[in-house]
Amino acid sequence: MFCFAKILWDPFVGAAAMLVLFETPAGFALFKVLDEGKLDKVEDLWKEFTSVESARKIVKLQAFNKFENTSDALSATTLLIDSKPSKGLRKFLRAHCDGETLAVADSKLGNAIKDKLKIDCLHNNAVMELMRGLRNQLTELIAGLAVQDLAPMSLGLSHSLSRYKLKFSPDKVDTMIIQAIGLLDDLDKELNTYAMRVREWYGWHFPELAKIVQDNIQYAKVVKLMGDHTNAVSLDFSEILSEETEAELKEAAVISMGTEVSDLDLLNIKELCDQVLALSEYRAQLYDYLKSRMNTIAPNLTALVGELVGARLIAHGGSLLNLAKQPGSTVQILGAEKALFRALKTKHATPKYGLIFHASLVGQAAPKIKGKISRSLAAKTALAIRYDALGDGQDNSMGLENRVKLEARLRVLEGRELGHSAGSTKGKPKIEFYDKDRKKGAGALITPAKTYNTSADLVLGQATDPTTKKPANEQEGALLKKRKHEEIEPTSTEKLSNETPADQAKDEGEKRKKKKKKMVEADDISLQIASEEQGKKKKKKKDAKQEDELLTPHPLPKEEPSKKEKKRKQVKDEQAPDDTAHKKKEKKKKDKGAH
Amino acid sequence: MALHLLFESASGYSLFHAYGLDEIGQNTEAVLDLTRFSKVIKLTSFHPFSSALDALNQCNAISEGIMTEELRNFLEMNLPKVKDGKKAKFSLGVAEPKVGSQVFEVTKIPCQSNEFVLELLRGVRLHFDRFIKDLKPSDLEKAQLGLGHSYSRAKVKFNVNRVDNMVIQAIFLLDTLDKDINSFSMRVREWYSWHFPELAKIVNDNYLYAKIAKFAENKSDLSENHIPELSELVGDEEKAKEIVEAAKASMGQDLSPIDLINVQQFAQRVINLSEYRKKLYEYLVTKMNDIAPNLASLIGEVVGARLISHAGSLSNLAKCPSSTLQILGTEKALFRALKTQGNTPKYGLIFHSSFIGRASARNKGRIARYLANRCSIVSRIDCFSEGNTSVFGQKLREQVEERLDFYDKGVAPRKNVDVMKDAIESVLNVAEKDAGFRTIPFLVYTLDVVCFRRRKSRSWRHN
Repeated sequence: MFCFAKILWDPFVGAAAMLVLFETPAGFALFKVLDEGKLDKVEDLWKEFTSVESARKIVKLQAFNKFENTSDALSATTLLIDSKPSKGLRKFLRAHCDGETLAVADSKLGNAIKDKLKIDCLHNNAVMELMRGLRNQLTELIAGLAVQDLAPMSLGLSHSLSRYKLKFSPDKVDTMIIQAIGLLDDLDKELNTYAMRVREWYGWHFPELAKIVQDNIQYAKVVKLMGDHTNAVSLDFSEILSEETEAELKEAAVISMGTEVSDLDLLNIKELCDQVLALSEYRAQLYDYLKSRMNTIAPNLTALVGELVGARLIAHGGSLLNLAKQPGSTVQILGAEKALFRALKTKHATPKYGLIFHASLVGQAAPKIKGKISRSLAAKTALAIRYDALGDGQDNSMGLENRVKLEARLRVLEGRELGHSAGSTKGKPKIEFYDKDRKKGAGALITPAKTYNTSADLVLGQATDPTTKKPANEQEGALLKKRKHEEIEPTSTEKLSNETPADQAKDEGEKRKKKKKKMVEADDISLQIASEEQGKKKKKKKDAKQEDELLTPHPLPKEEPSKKEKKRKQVKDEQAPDDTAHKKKEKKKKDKGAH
Repeated sequence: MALHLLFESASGYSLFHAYGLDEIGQNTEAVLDLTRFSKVIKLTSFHPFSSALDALNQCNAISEGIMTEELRNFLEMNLPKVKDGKKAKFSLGVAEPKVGSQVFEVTKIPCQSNEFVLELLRGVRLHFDRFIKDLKPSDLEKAQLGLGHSYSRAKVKFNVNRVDNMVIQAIFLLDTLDKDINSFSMRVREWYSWHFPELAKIVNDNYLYAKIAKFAENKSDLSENHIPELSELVGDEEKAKEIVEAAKASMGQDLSPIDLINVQQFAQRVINLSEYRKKLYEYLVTKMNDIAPNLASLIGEVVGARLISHAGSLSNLAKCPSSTLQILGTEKALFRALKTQGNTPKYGLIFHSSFIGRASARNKGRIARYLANRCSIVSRIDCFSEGNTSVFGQKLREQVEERLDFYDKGVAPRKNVDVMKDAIESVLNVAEKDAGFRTIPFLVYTLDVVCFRRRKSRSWRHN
């Protein structure tokens, strides 16, 4: 809050003509000092302002100039901060104080006024003390300015002032993006619900249509056009449907087994269709809006991962600035927190990608190098986000440049894959050669047999959505599946480092079997399997170690465990009590449940 | 003597010529074997129905033993002429003797219908799709299905205005709409509050908020000139002034035009949705008054619709005993209570009726029981009576009111018999005016059931 005051003091005229200019968030106030004798005792001045009555004996409101609106207040205040009188202030002073002198709290402002308006100014301790007193009794002294009026004004002014000072641009509001992406998801969901309702409702009348027209929007359009199915024969659907489906529809309409419906029902169904169409239209608009916003707020991020993924990242991070503070590794698994923490807890492999999975670069990559590409993409994305949030550049050249680099890297990775499959590039047959489960062929096509880890599934906020259970049609079902698709890297780096290729192949074979088992068996025994796996892993490690010892010319003495192992042991020791605590908790829970 | 066969399929009439009957003779086993059967039976002509409606008409005519114009033309065109006074050298085999006699009367074509003909027709039916080349088996099935449905619908006197499915759909949709409108409105609030946070506190109603957000657009453009329009929207001049004042001192930040446009569009969407919800509600009310007028007047349209949708249909609801109706919607609590041997719930969906809210805590269970009892009677009346009256619902509603009074102040309610007599009298009065009313037998039955059952239970109690 900025409060300035000037005391007008005229030594020539005498003690009576003294005015105080007080600056409030609501406007300028001019007070007349009634009893100037009190000003001599600066230390005791505050006592006079402890009550309204005594304060009224000293000062009296002479004039008050209210601001038009916040922007007016803002411009006046910013000028005052720079010690310049605004136009409004000059007019006000000219009107209400001529021939009187000024004493100023801000001496620079006093000088400015003196220069421009030829009013003498004064600034001393007594003035400051008076100011304090005035501020104390402000709402009482100025009629028509209650506390509840003043508070929102000062709040509003301070907000806009700080925004102004921070050079805040309304074009850079990322909350809008967060809102828009949330709304987009909501709309998709609701649109689907309504479309299903149309199908169900109209299906009573014309059940065959649901199979003929798969697309929800087309369906709504057809229903809206057709109304009663007996009208179908005489109508022209060429704008909505292809020729074949139109013919099919007309044929079905003739021999439909649906019941008749009353006109009122039809009218309501048509209205629902209108809603569906309007909603879908709005969704398209919203999507366009999101695109344009993303391109202005985060052009580089958009260039790298696309609008939707970018917007989801921002929404997930909370704001662009928050997101800019995240390292690349966090950006990589943003949106897969559940899988990550589960993996950390159960000591499995952590997820390779979160929201970033839907980026086209990751989509292009072959399954085997998806993890690598997502890592590099996340690194570049993190850079782009920082550039967008904090840089001054307005274009997306940086993002485009990085995208080209990533694409080049993708090609390189794929090329390397090709080399592997070609066989003996380094005079050594590769693992794949021995692995019968893998098909021979072009490198890019080599994929490990699909092992779908259901436990690593990530459901993007749709767990409670009833519509996911019944996808509208097969296409949508496929889409949903894609979304859920979330894999976990099967091999950890640690294992790769101390295993021979042959061993690895064996291990992989076993793993596949285990995974299959996992998929088949129920959840309750998954714990057992996990423990088994761990046991087996330990064995493997031991074997590997022995082999290492055989291979290395200078084996380490057995009695002295390596540093790594020491660490591991420590970790185990630490975890042991943890586990028991966990069990206790579970027990407690059970007890509670029983009660 | 040549034998022709008339076969009526779902897709059209067809005429067959059985010329080699000697080969299979009276041996009906051959009917099953197409290679042998096709040697003796040949398709001579086929007349498809023009539409599903035409097919239904023909089907109706045949089932009533009437020969239609189309059938007559078809027969006269495709069979040799019968000269007057001479005996025809052929006969026509038909499945339905009534149709046969009609055909003979009108066209003098001699018809026969016996077991042998039926057997041959059975064969024709079995191999029908082989005889007609252009007909795909799936087409025939579809035609049969469609015809079957429309035929049965025509026979059961289906009333389109009393489809309870529509109510079920509408109440489901109403629920989703309520949910969505709420969430969308909250989003509008959140969104526009970025620009004008003070408005959310001034205007509480969601619909109004969206309207004002749409109207206000940029808050800095809002001035005193807008107050008349605003107060028209809000319906209160004080509030309109408050809004303008708040807009002047708002701490919200500026939005770029494109953001503002988008917020406006979204607000418009919310407004449209809420308007649609209103329309749908009206629709539900009219539908409920068509389908279950008594239930609607007893317990209200929405709760009534919920009851119907929960039971699956009105007739399902009518089959429920009142104890089931009472706890409809709290199945989970009921079964948990049964499992843990705790107290079973006192009310389900009917809790949303105003009666239970008005009863004191002690009497809530009692009034719920009573209300459920009345509801089940009323749903039966609605389901099985043919007339469209809501008198019973109103009378039973009065009874529930009286019962409430009784619990509350101890005012003795009227006797059930008297109320029912009242109701029947008023219905009969209406019925006299409206000659088409056909519920009188049912009404007498209702009176019997309602009164007699009460008497019986009372006497049982005395014993």
